[in-house]
Amino acid sequence: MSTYRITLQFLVFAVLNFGLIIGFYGIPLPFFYCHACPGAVGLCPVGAEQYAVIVNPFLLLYFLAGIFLVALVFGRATCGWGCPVGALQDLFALKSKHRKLNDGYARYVKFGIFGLALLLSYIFMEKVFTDLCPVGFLAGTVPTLLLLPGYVEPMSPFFEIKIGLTVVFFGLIYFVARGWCRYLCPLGAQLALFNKISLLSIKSNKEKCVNCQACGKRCPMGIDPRSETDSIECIRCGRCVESCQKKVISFRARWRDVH
Amino acid sequence: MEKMEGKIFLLPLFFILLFLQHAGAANDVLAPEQVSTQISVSWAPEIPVPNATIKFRAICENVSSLKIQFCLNGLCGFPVDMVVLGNNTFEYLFVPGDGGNPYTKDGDNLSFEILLNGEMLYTNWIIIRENAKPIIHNIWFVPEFPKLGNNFTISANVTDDLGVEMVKCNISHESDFWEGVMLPRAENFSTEFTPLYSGQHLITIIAIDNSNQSVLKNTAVFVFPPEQRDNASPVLVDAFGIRKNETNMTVRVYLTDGSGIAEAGIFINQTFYPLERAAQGFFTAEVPLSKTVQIYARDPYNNTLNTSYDLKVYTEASAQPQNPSPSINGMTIAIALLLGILGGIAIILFVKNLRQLHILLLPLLIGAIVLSAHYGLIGNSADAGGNIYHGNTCWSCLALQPKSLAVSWLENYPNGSPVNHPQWVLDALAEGKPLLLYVHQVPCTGCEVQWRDMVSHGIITSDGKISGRFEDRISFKVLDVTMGSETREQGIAVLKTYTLGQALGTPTTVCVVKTGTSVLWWSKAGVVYSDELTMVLDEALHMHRG
Repeated sequence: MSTYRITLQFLVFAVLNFGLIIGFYGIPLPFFYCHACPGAVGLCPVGAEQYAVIVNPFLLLYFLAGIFLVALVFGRATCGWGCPVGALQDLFALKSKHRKLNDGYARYVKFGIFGLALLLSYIFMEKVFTDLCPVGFLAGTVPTLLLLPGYVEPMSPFFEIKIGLTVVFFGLIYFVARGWCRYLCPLGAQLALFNKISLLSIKSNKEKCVNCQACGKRCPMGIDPRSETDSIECIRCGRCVESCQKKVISFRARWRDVH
Repeated sequence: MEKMEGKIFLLPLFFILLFLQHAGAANDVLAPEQVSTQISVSWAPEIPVPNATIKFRAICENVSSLKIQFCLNGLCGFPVDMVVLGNNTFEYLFVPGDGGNPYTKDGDNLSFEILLNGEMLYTNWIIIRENAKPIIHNIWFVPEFPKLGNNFTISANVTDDLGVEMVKCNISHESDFWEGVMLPRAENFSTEFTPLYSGQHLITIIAIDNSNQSVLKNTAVFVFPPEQRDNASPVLVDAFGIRKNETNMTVRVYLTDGSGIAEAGIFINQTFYPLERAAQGFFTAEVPLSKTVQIYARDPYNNTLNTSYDLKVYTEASAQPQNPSPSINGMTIAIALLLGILGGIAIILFVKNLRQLHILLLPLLIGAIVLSAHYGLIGNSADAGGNIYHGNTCWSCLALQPKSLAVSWLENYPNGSPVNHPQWVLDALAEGKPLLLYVHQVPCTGCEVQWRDMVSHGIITSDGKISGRFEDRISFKVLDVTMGSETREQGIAVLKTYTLGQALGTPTTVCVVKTGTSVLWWSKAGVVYSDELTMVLDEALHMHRG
């Protein structure tokens, strides 16, 4: 399963950068990826939402609708299987030992970031989260500086702030597995709202469980998959499923249980 | 007593004095009637509309002060002094809601008395009427195309529900200005004018009714010079609509012709709507909402323009395009299908898991599903940001900005190679004014920000015309590079010419100025705020003056 997931993550990353080849861009994404990346084919969902609150509240519903519909089907699976930022964190998470943390309240920060991003964008008529976003620096600024060195120059003070936040970003994801997804990602916050009702979910048969805790040790989000199958933090990556020798944990389509 | 007897002759004198005294008193009592014949009172407007200011004027000889007292529908206020203007003239401005004066409404009876030392000199009443403004139905000239030096008559048909007070006529030419009152003949008003110059004359008719309400209507007449002929047809410069409601829009059309435009109109679904002249070369009409229209114009030599045109329709508030060309392409259909499939699944889940849904999410979810279907068809709605290769660059994503060329005005490119200015730019400069170009697309957050900033600081009006102190001193052109836009080609040319050959996206602002034989230019991609833009325009004007 890991092979499929990594392959899919790679493919998504590649396709998201087809913009230079196919000359098309602007598809709203259910992943977190910067549309200012020179090859971007998609539209950063959070950037699009901030744009919408500035120019047209109805447009915000459109962007939210796309994300919510995807979330209703997959929950946060797009974080686990598609998001390039998630893939980057997975690379760093290989070195990270901090999976299980007592960080319950910190996980709500991402909801605050999402709300503030929209509210402050509306007030200041600027995309305030985008101004600070370290993913924009990684995916957009660095490649743009490399590709067009003569045409652009840093925009102070945001350029310096972004450098600082990018360092913090790498520190976070190095020390805490999926630290961005856990605490900061405003898109993850939106997808998380639907984890408890999404079509794709995780099923746990506790009667078969031998409490080996292999699943919990592998969960990058630091939850206990046996008891928290519908947690808003579950990114449906399937590590718990493949780690369970007793097949206690499995993917399920929720509607089957309903019937 | 004896002494008194000696002066008995004083008795008749006493009675005479007594008589005279009584006669004087009687004279005093009779005074108002006598003086009232000597007072004349007027007010304007004659038939005031609700809450209109009314000017009362009284002319009365040999008095030093007068008071006026108002009663609205029988409820009276205190008398107030009228202002002495001199020459036996007294005036009072009745301003509703001010100085204790009541507000007025349709049908009110406003009676007034003019008082001298507490005694009434004059009384009358006015009925407040919410009446319509005068209507200028049409304007015509005899002869239709006058000749230089020959008299011609300007006539207008004007009506009003409560009467027309006056009709004025202003005639302006680049070298001449004349104004006069048009004389009434039934419902028509006319005046004569002898043109001293040939060419286009802008005619403004101003009609004022008895309630002091006025309307004006512009038109133009071309005065033929001797022995001259124009074979060129009118040219459509630009046209766009401003949506007024669900069914109607105001269409604005910019036309130009060497001899002026004699007649212009717009065909929508085979129906002809005459275009009214709002200013020189600028015509307007209220028409049904329509994207494709047929624009018709005729010059005084009967050269005609008859062209089909795709209008952009802007909202009234922002003057930004609304629902820009919803192009249904393969990708749009794919997105719509995906959303449809996901929506279907979502609805099933929604019903099955109703109890688990948080109640606050329900309305949002339903709204989102419905609206996603609508917006899913509008491919361009998703165009909320882009990268440096696709225009609409998200500069805040990058925390970068284009290297500004604003440090100085350039004649050539920094490497010394010459700039190949588009011919239409040079043509615009030939008008003798610096040229400001604003390149944008829809949607584009930075463009929205700059546009609002320019409008809020009075540099331009919301309908995209240069205004304030730059009006008539700077030429301004808005270039929309949105796919399918009429001005896209020009906009791309500007982006390539004035941004070092590398189109850096929108918004891009360019200012070009001609100083002697040189053409200098300044440009900047990204948002240019009003303080910087004002500085650039001032510099341009300074250089233009040399």
